Amino acid sequence: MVNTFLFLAYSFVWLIFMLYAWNVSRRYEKLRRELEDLKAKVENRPK
Amino acid sequence: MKKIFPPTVHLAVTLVWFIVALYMIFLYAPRELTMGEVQRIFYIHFPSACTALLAYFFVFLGSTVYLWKRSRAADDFACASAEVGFIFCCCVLVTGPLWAKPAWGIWWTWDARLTSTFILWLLYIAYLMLRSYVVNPGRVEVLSAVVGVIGFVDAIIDYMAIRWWRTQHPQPVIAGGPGSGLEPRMWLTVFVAWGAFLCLFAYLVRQRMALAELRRGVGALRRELVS
Repeated sequence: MVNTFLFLAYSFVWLIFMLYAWNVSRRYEKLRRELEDLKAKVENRPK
Repeated sequence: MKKIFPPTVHLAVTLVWFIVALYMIFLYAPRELTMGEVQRIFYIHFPSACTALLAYFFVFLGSTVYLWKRSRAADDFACASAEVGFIFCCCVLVTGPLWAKPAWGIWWTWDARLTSTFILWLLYIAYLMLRSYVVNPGRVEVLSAVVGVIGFVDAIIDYMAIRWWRTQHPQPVIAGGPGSGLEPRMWLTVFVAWGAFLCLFAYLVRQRMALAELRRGVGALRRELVS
């Protein structure tokens, strides 16, 4: 029973870190794509 | 910084450090006599708690510098520290009860240390909610910086709680006076684990600051397109 607590504690901590890292990288990718789109729009707009 | 220590190298160092820390936690550190295996939760609970407190100190520092100098970098640093600190604070509030149940027989008690940690977690949420709900530029930075500075009082209370009052939470292991402390191999394991957590914290703050910079770039281009 005690080892279950140990297992749960380590699992939750890893899960929290993984989810956060995934969330940051997802937001980063989304912004990077948006930045590229906007850069293309700025370059292609009539002067 | 990016050239000397690129993010990929930083991530690799963090992962290797964590592998070493996990080896030490499960194979090097001795089994604690009274609590047994469950005591090994301490090796993630303690570094998470120290990092969450340190993160709030960074929020305070960044907020103070922002209020004083109106430095955008300081605000980015405070915001990134708050977001990552919140993650570490979640780890504290998850691992604490998972250790408390087999050790004390209860999941939670409203003693000074636990309550002030819970308030710290709420402060992190308040700070982050403020950042996402107030859209007025300039105003959001000032309001969140004020929360960052005022909230630091709770971080001090949280740190001092087990020194000022008798609590259900164990007395301090570090700087706790005579009788406190750990077996030497446990000490070493704690410091290696804490180092790994600090390295991860630095990596996540870095990534979060890069995100803020990217967001600013997108905002500038949007304004350019509109004008």
